[in-house]
Amino acid sequence: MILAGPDALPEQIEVITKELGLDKPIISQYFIWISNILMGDFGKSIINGYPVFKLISLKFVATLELAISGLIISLLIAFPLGILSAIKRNGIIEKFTTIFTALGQAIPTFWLGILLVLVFSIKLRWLPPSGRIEFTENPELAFKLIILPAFTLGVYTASVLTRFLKTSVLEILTLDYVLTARAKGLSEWIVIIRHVIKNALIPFVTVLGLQFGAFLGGSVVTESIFDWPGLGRLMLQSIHTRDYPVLQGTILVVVFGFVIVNLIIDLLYSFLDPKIRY
Amino acid sequence: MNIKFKLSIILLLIIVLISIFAPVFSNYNPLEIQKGKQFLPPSMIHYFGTDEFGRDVFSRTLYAGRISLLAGLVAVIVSALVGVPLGLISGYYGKIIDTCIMRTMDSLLAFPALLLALSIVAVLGPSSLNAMIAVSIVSIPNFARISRASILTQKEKDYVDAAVSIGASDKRVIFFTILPNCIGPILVQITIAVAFAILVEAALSFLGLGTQPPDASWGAMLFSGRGYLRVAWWYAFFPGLFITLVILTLNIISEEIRDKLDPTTVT
Repeated sequence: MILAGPDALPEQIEVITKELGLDKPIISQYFIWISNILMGDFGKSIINGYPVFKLISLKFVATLELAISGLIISLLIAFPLGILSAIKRNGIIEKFTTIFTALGQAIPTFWLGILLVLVFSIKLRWLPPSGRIEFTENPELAFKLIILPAFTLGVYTASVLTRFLKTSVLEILTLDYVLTARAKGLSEWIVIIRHVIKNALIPFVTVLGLQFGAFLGGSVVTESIFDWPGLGRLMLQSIHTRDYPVLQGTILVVVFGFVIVNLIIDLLYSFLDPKIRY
Repeated sequence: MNIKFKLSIILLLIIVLISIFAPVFSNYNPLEIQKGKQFLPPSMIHYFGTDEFGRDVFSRTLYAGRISLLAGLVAVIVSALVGVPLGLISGYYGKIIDTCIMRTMDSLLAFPALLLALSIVAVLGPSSLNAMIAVSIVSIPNFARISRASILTQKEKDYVDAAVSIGASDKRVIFFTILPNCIGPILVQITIAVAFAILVEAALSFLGLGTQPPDASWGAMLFSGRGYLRVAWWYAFFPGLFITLVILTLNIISEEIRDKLDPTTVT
């Protein structure tokens, strides 16, 4: 009805229904879709007729770029804060970390994005408020354009990771092997790096994998705030225009990515902890 | 009880109460369009300024709180009422029932939460009610997993054997004997889930898929306000501040309850 318009004749609606295969039972529609997907055919957009797979591959790079930048930001914040706040307890770093983790987990991504635009783009005029260009075109502008979205996306994960890392390091510091390492006369930094951080990494990596889901969800919101032309915005546009083939294809790709990342994380365990073998 | 916890409860209560009694605290009708009063900055007359139609942002924020808080609460009640029994039944009976229920829950968890909520709203259509339904469905697996984990540790205990031996029915054993002993973790999950539900509902409304104009929810106000950042920062600022405060206080409260239940946690 939406495609044909409100004044469509019954014959026109019938033609469109047949064309889209909507006259078949739901279950056969589903199997047709699945078998097409398995053959690499994601269908075509019902709005502009563009192949869904091509559309997704065009937008995928932008989302990947944003996700990696967000990840880098969150690791850059989480590593020093998490470790230092656990080692130097009751200091100014720990106080700052406590406030950062509490706020980071409470501030909604969309509000943080808006605040950053308000301060850094509108008031201070340091960074552009929205858009994306290729790094090859203008590296400086591309870098400036990605800072705010990456930070918006990265802060929540950074606060979760910081808190987790801090808790793991605190727990490990009380274990016997740390006492042994210290008793051997190793310097404090070697104890921290070789014995504490390495063991804290295993649960850290699990949380990192789970946070990838938050990245994917967050990217829809972040891309919408910063007009970032990625999968999140494509998904949102397809919801508003009811372009179901595009929506189904995008969700499939994103969820597949989420599952694959978690599989990689599982496999990473055996590398990080030789006791784990599959 | 530490000071942070007490302050959080007080702040949360204030926000909840001023939202419930919005007509008492606000001097303006949240839907009243006032010509010539567009984009007035915060002042003693309009505490949070006015929006593009001259509507009072303070009144709208309070009234929006009703929708946002209600959405969070309803979503959590529905998901707990579905998720907890599913988890309890799954853990109590085990075997094929457990496999069927928990694999279904796992498949729901395979989707990142916001994406699943988006997909559900995409199918049902954008509206406040559908956003609530989406948030409820997304929250079910966590309740199921937590109550399953609790019942697995409880069902081996003697008091359960005692209840079974005096001839209590399965329904009675699960819901009246074991459930009261699993309430701690479920309570923690409820506070976490309320915060999560308010956040997801706000995100959906912010993306234009939840509460629809002229009604206001905090997310929907942010959605409209972000278009006017250059001329009226207050429009998007205050609803966001309220969301943040509610989430922050709920997070602190849930942590405190969790610490009370599990004193071994190091933070």
